[in-house]
Amino acid sequence: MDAKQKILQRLSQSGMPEHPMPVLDFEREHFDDPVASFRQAVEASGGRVAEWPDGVSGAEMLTSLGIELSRVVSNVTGIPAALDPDEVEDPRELDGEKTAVVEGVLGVAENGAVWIPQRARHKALYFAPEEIVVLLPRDGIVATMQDAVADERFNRDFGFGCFMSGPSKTADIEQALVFGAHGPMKLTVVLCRDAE
Amino acid sequence: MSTHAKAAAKFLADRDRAAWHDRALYLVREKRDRMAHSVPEWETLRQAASDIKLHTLSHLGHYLEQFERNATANGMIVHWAEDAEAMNRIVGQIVREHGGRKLVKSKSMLSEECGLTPYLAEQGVEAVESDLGERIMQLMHRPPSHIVLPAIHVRREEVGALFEREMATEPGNSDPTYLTHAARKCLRETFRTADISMTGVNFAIAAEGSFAVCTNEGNADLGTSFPDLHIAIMGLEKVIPDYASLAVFTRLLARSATGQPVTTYTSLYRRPEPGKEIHVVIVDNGRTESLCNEAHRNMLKCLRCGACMNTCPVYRRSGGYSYSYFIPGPLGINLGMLRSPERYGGNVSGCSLCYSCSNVCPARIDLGEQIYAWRQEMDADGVADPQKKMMVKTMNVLMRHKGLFYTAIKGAALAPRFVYNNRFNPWCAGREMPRFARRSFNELWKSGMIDQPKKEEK
Repeated sequence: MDAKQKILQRLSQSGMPEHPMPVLDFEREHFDDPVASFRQAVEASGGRVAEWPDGVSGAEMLTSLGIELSRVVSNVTGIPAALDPDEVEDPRELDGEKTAVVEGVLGVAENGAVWIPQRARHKALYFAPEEIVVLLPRDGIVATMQDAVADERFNRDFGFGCFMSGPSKTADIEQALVFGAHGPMKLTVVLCRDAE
Repeated sequence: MSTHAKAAAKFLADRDRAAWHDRALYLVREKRDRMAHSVPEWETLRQAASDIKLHTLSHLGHYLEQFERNATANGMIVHWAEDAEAMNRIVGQIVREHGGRKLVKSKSMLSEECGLTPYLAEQGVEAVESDLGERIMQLMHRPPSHIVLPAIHVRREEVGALFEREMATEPGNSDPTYLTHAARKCLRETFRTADISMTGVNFAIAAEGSFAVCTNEGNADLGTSFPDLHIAIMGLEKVIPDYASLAVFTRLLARSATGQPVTTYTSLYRRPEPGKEIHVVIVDNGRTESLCNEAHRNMLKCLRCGACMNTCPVYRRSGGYSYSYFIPGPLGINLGMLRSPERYGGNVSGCSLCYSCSNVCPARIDLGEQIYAWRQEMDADGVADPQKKMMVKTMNVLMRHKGLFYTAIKGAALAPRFVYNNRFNPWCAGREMPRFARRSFNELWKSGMIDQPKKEEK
C-alpha cells in the first residue's frame, strides 16, 4: 500500500461524525458607495487610486501620474510601452526600475484588493518591477471577497492570479510599517471606463 | 516549576524587553479588534469558517482526492507523505531530479515542523528564507518566536548589528526602513539566482485544483517568478471545498492575524507556466491521528493566523521561546500535546484559562477549553507535575472539611508571616503573599458586622 492509500485509509477510520457544509447565504457587508470605500481601502493599505478620464490618451494619463514612459512595461492595448513583457525570454529581465501597467478585473470594496489574473507570459511582471499600475474598470468594484469569487467576471480558467491590495509591505522589524519589502514599492489603481 | 515557567524566567530577566514585547503584541491584538468590529457579520463569518472546516475534516479523504485529481488535470504534480521523513525525502528527490543548489523559500510552519532546511543542507542544498522576519531569524541561527511575526522579540538595534555583519549596512543605522530596503536589495540577488522555489499553502481548493498563498511582502510571489520549479508543501488539513469557502477564510485571516483587511497578496496557483513545474506535497505527519482524537480534533481547523498568541496574556509576557514546542502560545500548547504529552507537557501550565484565545479564534477553536481538558488528561497519562498534584490533593481535603478549613484560615492569620511568605513557596517568586485577615469574612458576616445592603423598595 502506498502513502496515499495508507493516509486515505486512516482518514476513513477517523470516526469523525458527518458535518454538513454550511449554506453561505448570510447577509454580507453592504457599501452605499462601493467606489469610495474601495478607494479608502486602497489608500489605507498604502496604494493610490486615480481616474482615467475619457478622451485622455494612455501616455497622458501615465505622465499625469508622474510615471516615466521610458520605464513602462506593458502588453495592454492603448498603453505606450517601452518594453513588451511577452517578448522577454528570461523573466529576470522584468526586474528593476520599471513600471508594470497591467489589467485588473474586479476590485473589492471591503479591503481594496484587485483581482489580477495572469495575462502575460511571465507572472514576474506583477512582482519584479519597482512599481505597478493596475487598470480597473469602474464597474468591476464589488462589495466583499465573497461577491468577488461569485462574480461571473471571476473566470476560473486562469493559470495564476492574485488578489493584490497595495504595495508590498512588512512590519517585521519592531512592528514598524515599511513599504517595499520584496514586491513593488508603489501601487496605483487607475479606474477606467466601464468594461464593454 | 514547569519547563514553561523556567524558560519564561529567562525572558523576564530583561524587564524592558518583556514589557515592550507585551505592548507590541497587544497593539496587534487591538488592531485585530478594530477590524473584527468593523465587519457586521464577523461572528457569522467565524461560525461559517468553523462549519466549513468541520465539514471538510469529516470528508477529508474525499476532498484531498478531489484536489489531487483537479490539480493533476491542471498540470501540477501531487505527492503524498506519511511523515516528516517522507516529506523531506520527496522534496530531496524532486530537487535532485531537477538539479540545483539554491532554494528560495517563503514562510512555512510545516518546513519547521519537519526540519526540512537542515535536511536539505545535508544534501548540499541551501534553503534561504525570504520573509524578512524569517530571514532575520535564519541569520541569527534561532527559530522564529511567533508563527506570523517571527522576529517579534528582536529589537531594531539587534537587526542593525546583524545586517551590518551580514549585509554590510551602515554601522549604527537601525532605521527599519533603511534595514528593510537593504534586505530587499540583498534578497533580490537570491531571488534572481535561486534554482528552486518553495512555498507553503494557506488553502488548497479541492473543486478547482488550485492553491492559495498569502503574504504581505510578496516574497512567495517573487520567489516563484524566476525559477522553473516550485515546490509547495501542505499539511493535509489545508484543503477546503471551493472558492466560496476561500472567500470566507480570506475575510477572516488577515483581520485576525495582523489587523489588516486582507493580506497584500492572496495568490492563486492553478497551472504551471509552460516549461515550468509545480509540485504539491500533501503531508500527514500525525494529522490523521489528531483527527481520530475526538476531544482535540478541533485543532485541525486552525488557519495559522496567530491571533491566539497575540491575545494570550501568558504568551505576551513570556515570549515564544518559553514554550518547548516549536509553535508557541495557546496553539502550540495544544499542538505540542497532540504530538507528545511526555515531551511537551510542560507547556500546559503556560495558560491562565482566561479563554481569550477561544474568543478571538477565527475558526472558533476552543483552544482554552482544550488546554483545560489536557490538564485533566495529563494525570491519566502519568505526566502531571507531582508538586502540583500534591497541592491539589491537599486543597481537596481542606476544602471538603469545614472544620479543618476554618482552623487552617485561623492558623494562617495567627502564624508569623515567614511561615508562608518565603522563598520555598513558588507563589512568592516576584510577589508577596497577601496578608491573612484576622477575622474571616464568614466570621464577620455571621456576627452581623457587615452592613447588609437594603433591599430596593418597589
